[in-house]
Amino acid sequence: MTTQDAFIARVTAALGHPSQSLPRRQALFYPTGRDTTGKNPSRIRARTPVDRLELLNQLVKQGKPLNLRVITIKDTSAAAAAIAELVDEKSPEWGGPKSVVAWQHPLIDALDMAPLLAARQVTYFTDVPTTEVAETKERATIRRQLATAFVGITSADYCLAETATLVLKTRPARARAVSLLPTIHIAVIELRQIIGNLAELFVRLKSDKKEPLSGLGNCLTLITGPSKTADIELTMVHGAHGPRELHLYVIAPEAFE
Amino acid sequence: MKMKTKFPKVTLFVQCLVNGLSPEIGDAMLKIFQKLNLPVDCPLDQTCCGQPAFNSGYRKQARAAAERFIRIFEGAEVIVSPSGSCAHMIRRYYPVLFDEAPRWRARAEAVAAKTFELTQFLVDVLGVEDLGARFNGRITVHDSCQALRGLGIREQPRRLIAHVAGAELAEMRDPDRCCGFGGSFAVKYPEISAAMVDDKVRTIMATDADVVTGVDLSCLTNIQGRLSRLKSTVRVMHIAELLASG
Amino acid sequence: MNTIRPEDYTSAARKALKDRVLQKALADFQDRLGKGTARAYRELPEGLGLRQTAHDIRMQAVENLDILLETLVENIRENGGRVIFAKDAHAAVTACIDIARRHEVKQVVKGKSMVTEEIGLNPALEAEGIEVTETDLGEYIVQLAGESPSHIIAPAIHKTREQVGRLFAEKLGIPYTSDPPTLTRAARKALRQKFLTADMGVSGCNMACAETGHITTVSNEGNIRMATTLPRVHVAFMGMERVTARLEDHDVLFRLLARGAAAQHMAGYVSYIGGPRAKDQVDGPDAFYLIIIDNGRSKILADPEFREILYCIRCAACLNVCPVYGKIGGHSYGSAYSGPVGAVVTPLLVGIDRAKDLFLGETLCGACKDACPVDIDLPRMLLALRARLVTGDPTWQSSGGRLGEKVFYSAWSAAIRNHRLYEGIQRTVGLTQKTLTGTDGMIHSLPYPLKGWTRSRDLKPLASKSFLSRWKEIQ
Repeated sequence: MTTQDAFIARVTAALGHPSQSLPRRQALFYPTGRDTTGKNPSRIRARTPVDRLELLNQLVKQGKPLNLRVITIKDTSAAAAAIAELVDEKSPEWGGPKSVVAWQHPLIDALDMAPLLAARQVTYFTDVPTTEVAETKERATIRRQLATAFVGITSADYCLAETATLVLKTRPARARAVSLLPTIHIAVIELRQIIGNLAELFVRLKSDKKEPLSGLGNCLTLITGPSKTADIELTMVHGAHGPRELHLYVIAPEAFE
Repeated sequence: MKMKTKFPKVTLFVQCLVNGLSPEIGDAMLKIFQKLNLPVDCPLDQTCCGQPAFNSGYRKQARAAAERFIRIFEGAEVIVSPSGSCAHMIRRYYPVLFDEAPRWRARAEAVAAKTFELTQFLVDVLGVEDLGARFNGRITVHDSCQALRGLGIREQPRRLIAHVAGAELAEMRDPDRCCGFGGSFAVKYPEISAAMVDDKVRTIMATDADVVTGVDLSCLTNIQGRLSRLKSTVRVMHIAELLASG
Repeated sequence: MNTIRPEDYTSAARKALKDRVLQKALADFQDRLGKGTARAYRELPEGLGLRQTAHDIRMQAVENLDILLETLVENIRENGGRVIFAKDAHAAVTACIDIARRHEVKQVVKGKSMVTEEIGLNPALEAEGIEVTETDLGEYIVQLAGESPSHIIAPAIHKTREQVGRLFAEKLGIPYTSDPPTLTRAARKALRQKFLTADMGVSGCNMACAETGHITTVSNEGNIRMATTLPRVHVAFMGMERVTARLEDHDVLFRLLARGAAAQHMAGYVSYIGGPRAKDQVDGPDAFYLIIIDNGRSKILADPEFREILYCIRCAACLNVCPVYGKIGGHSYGSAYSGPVGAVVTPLLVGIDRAKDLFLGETLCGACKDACPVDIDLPRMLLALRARLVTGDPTWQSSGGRLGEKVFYSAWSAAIRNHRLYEGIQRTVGLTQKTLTGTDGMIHSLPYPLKGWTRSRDLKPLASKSFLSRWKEIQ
């Protein structure tokens, strides 16, 4: 009997079940082909722009007490300009020349930040290869870029209006540390990515067959506001270990009609 | 629980503490029932509901006390007690004590269903809030833990006090914070208990109340002990005494 | 490291009661967090009923724990993660040391994890010459101070800002300041370097999801994300009961966890981790290990009276409202788990005799049950532990109660069942107490065992005539 078998057998015995009963009970507990979430995923997808604008309002409201800055923006060029300005006014926490790291992502690629930032003497790193990162030296370079950049730009898979939470799946060319190591985290999403709450998120992740990105992957991160702590006398301080600031740009032309 | 008659016969479970320490509370209850034209019975052979033994883990002894209580009281129409913690013991834990004895359990549940703490009986069962009482003074209410969280008694004493002519209700900060009695806890862990009752007494004194009241003599005795040691002039009165005055 | 044991409860509590700084810290934080939690539950769209739903979710998980563990492990392995089953603390620690050796680990960064406190991981790693740095700010503070955490969520809540300022000035060499943002920045700077150079990150697991094959980690600071993304190895420790059946359970559990722990709507960072970095991903650990720990939990599971304590999601809401914890602080419990949950789980982990003060030293006020987001009946289990102490129970290392008390309750039982004897005793005490009663009508001093009471309280004497004797006369 392996350690695992002995361990689990002890649990089975503690519960008062006959030994060897586990596979049968497991099949009953997790029957295949049964949707257990009880919510219709297409209903979530079929939201009208008016519905989504309402969610956006909720997001903005929820974000305020968390120090999450939500900026509604008309289009990608307006977003790019706003981000370039933000990068210009902020100073690097640890000193040194300014640099920015970003995901490779259609929305971020469309911003075309490189020339805007170069004009402000800011280096822009997004040359993260999409193939297997085998070279230790290459990974060390990337890590250095991530560690010295003072701004990290990502998109997100979803944004939950009820709790102002960003949902980020880990994928190639989109380092986890972009939303973690730099002092300032900038996220750019589109209005249609805002959904209601955790319950809806789990429905999308689990049962929406039309969702090409279904599943959690090996690492899914939920981010609600910038980093904070209240460990000293319950005094709230923003910026413990993760980013001190979080700016969320929502591209929503519908809001400007 | 709906009463079969408008004037049910009340069987008084007086509680060992009230019996030996503050019989005037029993007198006050008699006066209240008299005002309401309720006939009263009080079994002379009653002793203790068994809570002290149960709380200390002596379930066999607690069961013996419970059996005796059930035999003495099960013929009653309704059982009323000045003690929230005793009413809680009977209602919540008597059935548990007889978990493995179905017939005793049934008898325990029957008795539990008709046992009430005084203010819950008056307000929730009889629907009475005004007893025509009169007491001039500022009153603050301590919410005893078992009565509050076990029986849901919080509004009832306050509604009754609201109808006491001349009485002004002043809420203390954290009226539902434990006073630190906890039965044998006060004897076994006296320093922690003393620290807790000291906190409670300071919130009481901060209200400038003339009287602190409640539905459990155990809490009130604990609070009174500390008030007395601090030579405070705040008077301790059981809710029954308040409702019987004037 | 000063180690307080559960047996030291009374002396540790005594010391805590005299510590004015601690008393103020405890009163302040209970005032803020305790009340905030109650309000947060009431504001839920489902109201307080959600706690019952959470209770049912946890019950279902615990009642099917073998199925869930089997399923979780199958799915984690599919994600490329490795799973180790550890039947006790020694097995868990040994497994971690093996991993560290295999991967040539010299430096470890840790997220807050009570189960690693329980098994004594840090000293064991340090004995192997491995440097361990706690990265949760509160844990970092107590680590620098050479203390143990005093609260599950806010480990350094017993320290004032001035104390932290002095500590950082001494240990980090920064100029003295008591400003929390400045102190936090100092820790941020010091720990950033550790995150970037560490070889291994250690985390706990808040609530694994069996059907998807993920553990979850929860923080507000971002330190757990750092510790589980930057180093090349990630080892996660999980108490075996910390798993739920379905992903949607997390909707209920996370919303309640955030409210129970800190009156928040949602914690700052929640990560679902199922395995190491995929070959084509830029960052993340090369290796992921999940160590699942029993260490006495299967024994708790086997006892229907105590199984409910395994529903706990470690939010510390009970600590935030317990009036006893609010006076004696977390250290008095001498265990990784303090407060009401500690009073129940510690004796079940270390033995009833050793930890009896923890469950005897509670008033059963019930505030904990009201505050618990999972509606766990803690008072019921405290009473059950007291019963086991009296009857004796070798399964839980209870040798049966003290003789003196047994004699007392036998005598009490005899008196209760004989009302004449009962009245007689009352009359006798009534007479003898006259010598103890002062001119103000109160008793100021009593002999053992009531001496403790009269040290700080007076006592009203018994009435000259009991109510029942007067009623008898009226009849």
